Order: sequence, then C-alpha cells, then structure tokens
Amino acid sequence: MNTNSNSLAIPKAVQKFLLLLIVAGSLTFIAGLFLSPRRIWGNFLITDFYILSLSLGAAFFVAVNYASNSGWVVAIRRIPEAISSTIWLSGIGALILIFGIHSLYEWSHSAAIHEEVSGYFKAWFNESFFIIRLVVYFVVWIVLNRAILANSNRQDKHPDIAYTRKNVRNSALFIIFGGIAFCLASIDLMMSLQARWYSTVFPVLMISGMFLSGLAIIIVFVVILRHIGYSHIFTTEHLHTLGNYLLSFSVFWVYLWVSQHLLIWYSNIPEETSYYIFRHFGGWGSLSFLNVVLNWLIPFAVLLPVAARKSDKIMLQMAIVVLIGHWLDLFILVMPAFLGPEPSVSVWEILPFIGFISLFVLVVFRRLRKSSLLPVNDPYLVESLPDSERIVKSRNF
Amino acid sequence: MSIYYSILRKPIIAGDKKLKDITDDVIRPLEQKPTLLWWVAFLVSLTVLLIGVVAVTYQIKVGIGTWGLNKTIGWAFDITNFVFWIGIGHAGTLISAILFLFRQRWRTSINRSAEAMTIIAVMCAGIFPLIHMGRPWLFFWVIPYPNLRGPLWVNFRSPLLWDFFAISTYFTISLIFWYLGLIPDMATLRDRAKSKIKKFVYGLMSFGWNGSARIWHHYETTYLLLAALATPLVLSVHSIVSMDFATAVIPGWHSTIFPPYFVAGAIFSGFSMVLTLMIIARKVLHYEEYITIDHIEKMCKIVLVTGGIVALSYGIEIFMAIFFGNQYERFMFLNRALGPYAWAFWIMISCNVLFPQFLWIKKIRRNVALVFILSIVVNIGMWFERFVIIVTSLHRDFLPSSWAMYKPTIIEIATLAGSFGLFFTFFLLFARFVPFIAIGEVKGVLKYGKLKKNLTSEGSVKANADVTV
Repeated sequence: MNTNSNSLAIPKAVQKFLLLLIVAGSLTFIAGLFLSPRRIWGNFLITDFYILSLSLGAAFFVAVNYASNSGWVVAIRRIPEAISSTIWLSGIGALILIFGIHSLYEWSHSAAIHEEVSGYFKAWFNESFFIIRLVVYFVVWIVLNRAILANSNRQDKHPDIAYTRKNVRNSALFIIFGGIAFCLASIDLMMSLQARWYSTVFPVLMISGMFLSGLAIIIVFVVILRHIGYSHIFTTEHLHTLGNYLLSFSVFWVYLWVSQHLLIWYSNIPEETSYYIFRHFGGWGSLSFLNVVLNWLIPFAVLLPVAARKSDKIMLQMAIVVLIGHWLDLFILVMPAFLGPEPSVSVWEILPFIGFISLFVLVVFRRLRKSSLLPVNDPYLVESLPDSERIVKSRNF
Repeated sequence: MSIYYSILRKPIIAGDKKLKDITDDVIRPLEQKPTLLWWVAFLVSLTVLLIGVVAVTYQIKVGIGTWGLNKTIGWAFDITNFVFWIGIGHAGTLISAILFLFRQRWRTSINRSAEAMTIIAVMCAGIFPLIHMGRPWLFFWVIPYPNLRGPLWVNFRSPLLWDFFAISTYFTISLIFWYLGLIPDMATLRDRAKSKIKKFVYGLMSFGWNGSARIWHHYETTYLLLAALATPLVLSVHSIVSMDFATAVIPGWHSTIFPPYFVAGAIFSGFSMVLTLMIIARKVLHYEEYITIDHIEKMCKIVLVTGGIVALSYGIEIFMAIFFGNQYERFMFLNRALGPYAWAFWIMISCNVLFPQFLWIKKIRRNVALVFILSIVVNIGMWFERFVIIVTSLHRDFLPSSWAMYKPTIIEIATLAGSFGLFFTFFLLFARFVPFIAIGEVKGVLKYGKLKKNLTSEGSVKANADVTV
C-alpha cells in the first residue's frame, strides 16, 4: 500500500493565479529596490518575519504536542508538519535581507548610536556577527524540524514506536534551542530597529505572536481541507480544540502586550516611552488600537461560545482576522521608522507580501501531497480519531 | 472521544482498585485515631506557629522598627516572604483549573491537597502585607469605602491596591473551587459517619448532596465554569505582584518581562512545594497507589518547564542589561553577581537554574528521594530569587552616600518561621479532617489507560485484550 502520497491537488486555475501573484510580487519588489528602497526593505522584513512566524508557529505546535505526548492532535498533525516544512523559505528571505541591512538598521552605519547605547552594543551588533547569527538560527530550526518530520514520515512505512520516542526528544531540543534562537532573532531583526529602545518582554511577546499566527494558519488549512472532502479525518472535535488554542493564545498575546505597554506607560521613562509615543498618536494610534482589536478583542468575543469554535465558517473568519492582525502588528513595529508620523499603505506594502504568501501556500500544498495525510502508524492515532480503524482500512485518506 | 487509549498510556491509579477500595483507602486515615507521628508533627508546627505569634505581637506593639530595615532598604524580608508564599499558592489553582482545561487527568490524585496548600499559602502570604503596614488595625484603609474622615480614598493607580483586589479575588475563587470539589466527598463522609454529630456536621457541609444525575450534571457544569474563571486568575495574581516592583523606576525592578516571569516562577516554586508535600504524604498516608511515581515524574516535568522559563527570563534580563541597558541597569546586574550580595545571587542561580537540570534525566525524575531533595532546593532558590530582586535592587541607592546593607533581625526570622508553622499546622489539620484525595474525581479516572488499541499500517488492529474494565 502506498502511504507516501495522496490525491490532494489544487485546481490548475488557482495554481496559475498564485503563480501570477508570485511574479507580480517579485517584480514589485525589484522595482521597489530602485524606486523606494528604504520602504521596500522595511516591507520585506515584515513579510519575511511574517512567513517565518507562520512556519515556526506550526513547527512549535508540532513540537509541543510531541513533547507533551498529546493524543488529540495526531490526525491533523500532517497539516502543521507541512506548514513547518517551509522554514527554508524565510531562510532564503533572510539571505536576501542581508543586502538590506544598511537600509534597515541604524546600528550598521551610524557610529553615534554605539556610543549612545552601550559599550558592549557593538560586540553584539556588527554586520558580520549579525549574519553569522542569522545563519545559525535557521540551521537550528531547519535541522531539528527536519529531524522531527523525517521520523514522523518514516513511521508511516515502519510501524515502530521508537520514532515517536525519538521525536519526543527532538521536540524537546527544538523547543529549547529553537525558542532561544527565536528570542534572539526577534531582538536582532525587530528590536534592534530602534536600538535606543529595549523591553525585556519583547522576545516573549514576539513568541506569542508567532504561535498565535501559526495556529491561525493551521486553522485555515484545516478548514480548507475539511471543505474539499477530508472532514472525516479532520473532525469538528479537532476544529474545536484548535479553537480553544486560538482563543487562549489570543488572550496570552494581549496579556503580554499589556505587560509591556502598561509598565512602560506607568514608569514613564523617556528612553522607553519614545517607542510608544510615536505609535500612539495620529494614524499610528488608530492602527495600534486596531491591532489589539484584531489580535484579541474580536477573536476573544466571537470564540467564547463553544458553537463558534466548532463552526468552520466562524473559525476561518477568526483565523483570517488574526492573520491580518499579525501583519498589522509587525507593520506597526517596523514601519514608523520608514514612513514617518503618518502611516500609509501602498503597492509596496501589498504586492510583495501577497506574492510571498502565495509562494508559501503553493509550497505547503506541495508538501501536503508528498506524504500521507494521516500518520497511520502513530501510536496515539487511536485517541485522535475514534473512527481511525475503519478509515485506515478503507484507505480513504 | 475515543473509548480506546493508545498503547503508550498507562493507568493513572496503580493496583487493581475497585470503586469501593478507593473510598476505603482515602477515608481510612480520617476514620482512625491520629498517629503518634501526626501528633508530633502537629505539636512541632503549632509551637513554631506560636513563636511566630509572639514575634508578630511584639512587632505590632513596638512597631516595625524591630525589623532590620533602614532608609535605603525599606522593603526586605516582609515582602520577600509575601511573594514567596503567594508563589507557593500558585500550583493548586494551576492544577485544578489549567490542567483541568488541558484534560490532564492525572491531576485528580493531587488536586485536592494542592488546592488546600494554595489556600493556606495565600493565608500565610496575607500576613506580611498586613503587618508591614505598621498599623495593621487600619488595614481597611486599603479598601475603597465611603467614609466621613475627609478625602480618604485609595489610590487606584497603585499596584499595591491592585494586589489587594487580585489576591482577595484569587483567595475567594480558590476557596470556592476547593470547596465545590469537596461537596461530593463530604457526602461520602456523611454517609459513612457513625456518630450523630459527625453525620450532622458532614451533612451540613455537603449541602444535602444526594448523588443524582441532575446534581452531578450541575456540579460538573459549575466546575468547568469555575475552572475557566480561575484560569486568568492564576496569571493575574502574580502578574500584579510583579508590578509592585516593575512599575517603579528602580533598576533591577523595572523590567517589562516581570509579569510572565513571575508567573512562571510562581508555578515553579508552587509545584516544588506540591512535590515536597506529596512525597511525604504518599508515604505517611500510604497513598503510593494513588500518587504514583508517574505522578511525581509528571510534576517534575512541569518543574523543569517552568524552571526553563525562569532561566530564560534571567538570561533575557542579563542580555539586555549588558547589550542594551543604560549604565544603571548594567551596574545593577554586575553588582548582583559580584557585589556584597553575590552569595544570595549565586544561591539563586544554582538552586533555580543549575540543579533543576538534573530533572532531564528520567532516572532522577523517578527517584523519590532525589526529587524530594531537589524540590526543597528549588524552594530555597525561589525564596532567594525574591530576596535578590528586592534587596539587591535597593541597597545601592542612586546616591552613594545612601548605600546600605540589610540584615534580618531575630523578630523577622521568627515571623518567617511562624508562617511556616501556620502553613504546616493548617495542612496537618486539613489532612486529618478532609479527604486528602478527591474520591469522586479519582473514581472518574479509574478506567483511564486500561482499554488500549494499536493500529498498524495494514489497518489490522491489535487490541490489548488482557486488561479490560
């Protein structure tokens, strides 16, 4: 029996449309490099970090569930696995980003900032060490993630519990080293944009945003696959549990957002408030407000009733709200430095972003096709899918 | 949900228990006369408590000048102990609320006693803010109430006031939650009671529970709702405690990571205390089949995870102080590690970061004696963490002429000892008069992990037929 592929396919028309968007996005990016370089680099940073958040969010989701021996997740695990396999995409993005270091980071060219901030600042923030670190982060993520995916796929052919045990160990390693790498990466890529400002909760806030958007993209794919005929594998129960996750991590995100915001507002230290003052008046102020509404208020209010967390339609809507919210979150974080006191959204923001997302979707679907949609030999499958015996026998997956 | 479990699952309760065995086993210690060991433990705890009472009475009469505080270090032992106890009080509600929502069914063996521990620990914590006011008889000034003495109105922007609200809410909800879980067990005690007085008292406490399906339904709905309500409280209390420090502008106190970091630290220390208590209780009360080695291992994993978060927070703070922070922040951290209180800092680092790493080894997680020692090590470390944060951040003032050192007086040490006396006295009373394990809930997990099934790639089924229920 061939358990290594499935008949999942996206319609040719959709595929062509996505390819078109990829081409349009790339062309816009190249045009932007000449016409509006600072702005295009800012947007490219947002886009790349966004894709990284999606794939790493899914990777952490897989790892956390392996490490905690959770049973419910097994039937849907191939979806986050496929999403997590795209870390290399943002890795390539990060390599491109190296060419934009001078446009993005003040510390790369201004000597004044090094004297202002700290004597040791230069030891950490210099171009060569920055590039080496970026490479190390991606190597850590990709190597450990690949190890998990490989064991998971091998188990399809060889029904051996040893693969599960190996993956528990790999997942613990991924959570520790991948987590530390993400903390440092968010400091490097995001926080150092305003090198005079720092906040100790910042990396944790970025982790929560990453995980939240990862959950949202998993939900989007689950709903799509349910819609095209896999609802017997990806059941309402799975959707419900994902809804619980989305709800609670949306609250977790706002908890950290408040931690940072409240403490900076309260202490009112000029070095710290400089970050928020810029983002709290005029157009940026409205966007900051909208950020909280999208990432927390709407998902929280809508998903509170159980029925909402079991509804495909509502869950899809909330996942999309959160996905837009995460983009906005990064937009507010990065762009004030490049756009000045009034925000504006133009073709530079939209097209390259959509193009990269289209590429991401294509790659995820390609990966989904490569392996069986159901980890048939996972020892926990029986807990995840009450009907698994019949489904495996009928080979309907 | 599937009625089958994965072949990797193990039953939660060891031994081949019948429903009646559970009731008998759990209630047995309550129906016997207290043992000699219990009396010794109780009298020792009570004595220590009385020492604390004497110390507190003395310092209320004389004033908090009896403490080792000075102009520079205005907060030290009192708030250290307060934060320490509040932290201990976090494990219970985490187990009963968050682990409940995560469907961690092994929690049933330990939730009752952990919740009792929570309530007692919050009571211990409550003493310290009260006495550190200096005039504790005016404690009601922290409550906003209409009064005739002029514009005496609490400052709603003060984190100390938020503390008051957060902790009293947490205490109330934890108490209700704990008591709600007790009701069916109280009814069991009532039904088994031989003397009339016992029957009456337990009857009163069980609110006329009759065990009908309708009552169970109401009970479980309420339990779920309370779990959902209590979950944010687990995070809110210690977040607000952390804001007592983080809203200030003192280097070493003002750090935006404090709320999540304090919460993780609280769960870290709370679970260590649960481990300490459970390891003793399972031995003394012969609950080894209910609180199994697997339970201890799972709790160790939670200690490991939360300890990891604490270590990460230390790391982030030090990293930012070195590479980003201003000179005051950097001095603060260097002074912590190398200054006059370096010994406290290194106790903290070794107890909270280094020693818990042993728990990565499965053999150690399953070695009861070693886990017991590690759990105490973590508790010592977490006490010192608060001491380091509070005292070392203060003792080097912005003005070098105000630099000072702090040493606790005998009165303060006696007060801390007294809080431990209070803790153990109440916990021993709890173990005497209330079922230590939630009988009704443990019965619900008896079938867990017994009926197993495994699939192979050909779709054939290997059911594990030798253990059936």
